[in-house]
Amino acid sequence: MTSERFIAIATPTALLFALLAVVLPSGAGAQYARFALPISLVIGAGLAFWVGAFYRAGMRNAFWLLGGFLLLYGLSNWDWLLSSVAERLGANFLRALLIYQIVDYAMLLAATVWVVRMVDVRRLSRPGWLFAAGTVVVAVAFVLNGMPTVRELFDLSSEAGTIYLVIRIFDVLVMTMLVPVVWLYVQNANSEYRENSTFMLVLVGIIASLTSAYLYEIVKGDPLTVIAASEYQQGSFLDVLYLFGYLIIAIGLFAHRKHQEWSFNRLDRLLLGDGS
Amino acid sequence: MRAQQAENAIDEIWSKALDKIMKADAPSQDRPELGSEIDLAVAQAGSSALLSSVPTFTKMLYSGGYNAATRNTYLVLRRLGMPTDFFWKFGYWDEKRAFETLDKVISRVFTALMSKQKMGELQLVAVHPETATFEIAFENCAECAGLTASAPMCFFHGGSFAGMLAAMLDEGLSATEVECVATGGERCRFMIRSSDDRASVVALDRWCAEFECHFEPERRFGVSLKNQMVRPTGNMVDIHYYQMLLASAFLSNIDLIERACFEAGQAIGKALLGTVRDMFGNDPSVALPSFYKSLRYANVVLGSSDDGGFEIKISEAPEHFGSLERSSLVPFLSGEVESLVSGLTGRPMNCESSDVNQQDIVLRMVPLEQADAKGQAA
Repeated sequence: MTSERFIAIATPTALLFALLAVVLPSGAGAQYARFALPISLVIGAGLAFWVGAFYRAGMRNAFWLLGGFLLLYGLSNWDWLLSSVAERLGANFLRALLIYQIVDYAMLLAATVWVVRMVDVRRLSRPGWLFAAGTVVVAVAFVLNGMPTVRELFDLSSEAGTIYLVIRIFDVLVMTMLVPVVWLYVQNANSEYRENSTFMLVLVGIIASLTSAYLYEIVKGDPLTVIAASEYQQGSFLDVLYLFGYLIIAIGLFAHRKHQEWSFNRLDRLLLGDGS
Repeated sequence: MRAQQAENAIDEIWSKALDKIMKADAPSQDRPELGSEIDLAVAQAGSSALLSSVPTFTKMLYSGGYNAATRNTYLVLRRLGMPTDFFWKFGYWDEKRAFETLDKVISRVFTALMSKQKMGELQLVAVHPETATFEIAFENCAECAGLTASAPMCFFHGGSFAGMLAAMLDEGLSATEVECVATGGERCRFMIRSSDDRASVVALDRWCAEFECHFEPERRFGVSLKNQMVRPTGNMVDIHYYQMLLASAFLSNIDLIERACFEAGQAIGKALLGTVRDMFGNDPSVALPSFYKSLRYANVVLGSSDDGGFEIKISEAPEHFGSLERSSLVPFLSGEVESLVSGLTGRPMNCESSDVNQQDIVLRMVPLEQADAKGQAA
């Protein structure tokens, strides 16, 4: 096995798993999405901790913080868990959820900062910087597109409005930081020492899972709150997008951890004379 | 042009060495009569003689090893299907993982490659990824076995190991030898550090600048000719090692050291005269072929010429065989043979010409008085 072969097999398989959410009959599809979304996040968290143990210093911080984010995010996606916590906390639930989300997204943001420091995006070429600037414009568009909803939510509850705004800002911040890193990989893809492809797949998964909903919102023309209420964990195309993003993260993490073992096995086979 | 020749030769030698560990049934490139091995003393003589006479040769040996290893380690690993991101973010690996992974690659590829060539046994001793510091041990080192020195002298291997790690990790590295068999150590040991660490560069410069060599060819060749073992793995080394050394350190710098090579050859020839005479007699047509054959160096045939000189055909010499066929390195051998023939015949000779054809090196020795007369007439 090689990382490239694993990714080539696992990615379409992940897409099939994600598509099950819309292929299955609506009730079963919703059940499936309710189960698969948090489970894929928790698996991703486990893999991120496993990969982090492989490193020290900044790289370990990046993976462990990512693992922390995925774990908390996965738990918050567990419907019954959320309902039971809401029941226990009553009126304080929204405030607690706000703190929880801030802590969760702060971990993702910190992980991203570590990634940017580790990969050193200062090596970006001129087109890379232009692309990064374009990403900032898209990020601002995502935030502005959500502002009417933020205002409506603030009228109802300041906590709900803050959660909505904070998540959106954190998401686009992460996106604007990670897109240049991925560009750097593309820029150096053919150089003698390229960036790690499996790591890039993890970043692509993160970017996709964070931003696909905002693209979906723009395409559909409805606020995300409306879309989420009617489609999230209902066996919808939105579920497919999220699930595929989370599975890509998990695939990237697994391939990243196994990359060396597989590469070395290949080298061993070649030295023994039976490699292709 | 010569630099390009050297690079091509180096790449070819590495590639053949890799073939040997990749494919057991790889076609043999051995010399038809003398086979694939040569006495270590031959490989050591050239570099030791130049270390004695050219102060900057330490740096040439080191850089030759470094550059050849950097370039070819990269090519070897790509040929073995190792992805270019295999050692990605090595500085952030924990020590256990760094040591185990690097050790696996080194022992599977480079230790195998060097052992096969009888260069010595390479072993990774310690790795500190956060500071890019490595310790390497090298047993049965072909560069210094049987030699004595007042300071560590394995410049070629130091450069090669630093270059090899530098290519794997995409990092500038500098090596210094901290223990050497030639100075009485149990084995050769190298410390390799990041070139960003100023102290490591200073240490390398000091090692290269302060080394003084006192090579005693008669003692070293005497040991080999009497079949006394200089190391447990024997006195022989694969000619690919010798050719790698020739191409990396000599051929790459030949424009600078051509004259010095010839003079070093002359000095060695003079120093070896007594040993050759004692062991093989005074007749050059017997002594020279026997001497070179006993070292598995080359086939030598002497033919007399009318002017009292000799036409000497040398075949299968590593300097003009296989990967070095197109870029023969004759000056050293010419000088050595000139001194030996002069001494054995008792008539000073001058190497009037050295030609290479497809198979042989042909040296024309004429008595010095005739050469002088020709010179004056001209």
